[in-house]
Amino acid sequence: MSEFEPKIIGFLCNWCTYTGADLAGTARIQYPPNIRVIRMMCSGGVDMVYVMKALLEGADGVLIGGCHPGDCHYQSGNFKARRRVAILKKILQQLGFNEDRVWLRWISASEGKKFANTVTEMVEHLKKLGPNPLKLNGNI
Amino acid sequence: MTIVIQNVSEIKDLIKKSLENKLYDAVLGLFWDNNNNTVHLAITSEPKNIDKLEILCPSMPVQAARVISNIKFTETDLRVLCIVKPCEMRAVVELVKLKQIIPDKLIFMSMDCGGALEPEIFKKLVEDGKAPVSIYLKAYDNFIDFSYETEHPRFACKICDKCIPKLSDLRIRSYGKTKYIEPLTEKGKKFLMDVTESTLEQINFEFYDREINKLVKNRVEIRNKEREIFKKEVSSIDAFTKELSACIRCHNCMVNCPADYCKECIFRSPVFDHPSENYSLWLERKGYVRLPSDTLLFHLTRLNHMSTSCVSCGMCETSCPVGIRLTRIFSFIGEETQKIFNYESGRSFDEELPVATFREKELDKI
Repeated sequence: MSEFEPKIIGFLCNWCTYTGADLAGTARIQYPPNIRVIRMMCSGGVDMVYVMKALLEGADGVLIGGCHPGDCHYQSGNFKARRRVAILKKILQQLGFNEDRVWLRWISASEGKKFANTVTEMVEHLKKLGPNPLKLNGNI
Repeated sequence: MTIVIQNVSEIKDLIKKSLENKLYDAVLGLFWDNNNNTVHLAITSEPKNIDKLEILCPSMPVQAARVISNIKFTETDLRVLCIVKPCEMRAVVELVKLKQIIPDKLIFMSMDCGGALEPEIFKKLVEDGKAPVSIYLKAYDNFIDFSYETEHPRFACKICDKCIPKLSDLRIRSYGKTKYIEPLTEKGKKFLMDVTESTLEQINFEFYDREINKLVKNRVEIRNKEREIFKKEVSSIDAFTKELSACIRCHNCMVNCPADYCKECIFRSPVFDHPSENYSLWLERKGYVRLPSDTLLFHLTRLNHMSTSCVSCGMCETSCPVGIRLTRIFSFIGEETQKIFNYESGRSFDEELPVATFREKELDKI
């Protein structure tokens, strides 16, 4: 049986993490191909409904990437994202859903290496957790 | 500084007088239906209608704060006296912070609340000739808590430990048949001075507070017990799905929720009217799709978007046609999300809404 390959949906901020991911590519840094990237203009634009939809439709993990605190292109989007993620994680935790499937990370445009490492780490972590229990559940 | 009232009808006389003297243009509150078999929320400018007003009433057919925020009273000069329950007042506070209610022309009267019954039970009791006599007098006059075996308070009222209004302009206290109207704000004080010739009395409420603290303590215990049960029963996502299994996504809980004010809500938009080709893709992938789709997503979205403003009024459960026990989900999870930010919905006009603000240094471990 082939090893479980987790699927990650990445909501990456255009100005930092997405550019960081681009740098990882142009610098030819190797990282697992498990992430599907969705470019957002700002991590503050990631409504938690997208994150939950991804999880309910069977994503094994969701990575939200934003600029470092203080570096947001729109001043404060990442701070707002941080609060929303805190609320989401609290709710998931209350419902006994492993909140560690959702990661919020600050990765700047120059941190291609950090982006690659984060994805690698996350894939390893999700392999340990196993598939998302909601995967392919048509009842929800 | 308080007015002592010997009978509830004297409060009505004061309200009537405030209309006659044009202190306020209208009164919003619960009125008896023409058939006298139930109460409904209404607004009136005619003093004679005040006879049908029910101030201390164990029924909450709609969330008054929700209705007030829908009307807004912004394009009129109407000054309105609003009679609301403490949970409705807490919702008013949230909606003022959300800029959905502008309180300048409004004055809020609230009461030490004896709770409410589900509307259909209230109606039945009235038709059987039982309410408001027994339950109403017991709960509102004597501070005897509901007897949960024989009477049917809403679950939200059963676990409510915030039955005392803190931020309304006026507070009605009951002790037996005697009522007290106590102003909590300058606006409330001015109203009382304008409406009565008798001077305001300074009253020592020590005896009263002792009684009410006992009741609140009792409610806190019930709440703690119910929280334990909830945490045990809904401890996994499967249990949560089971809890919501009957949901038909009619959106009643959202429509009646005072915190769900957003006009651009994704669930009020056509986003979930999926084109049929989506269904064929889902069938290919999952082989089974529940219809209407996205029921779990709907409730999770509500939890994410409004749980920090949930005032535990229980209107979601009252309006649910399939009897999902929504109050405990939203009340207990909302409590947790509010705790992250040391926030409590409806506690203060000055506390910032958690999702409308941020601190640069916080939540390091997210």
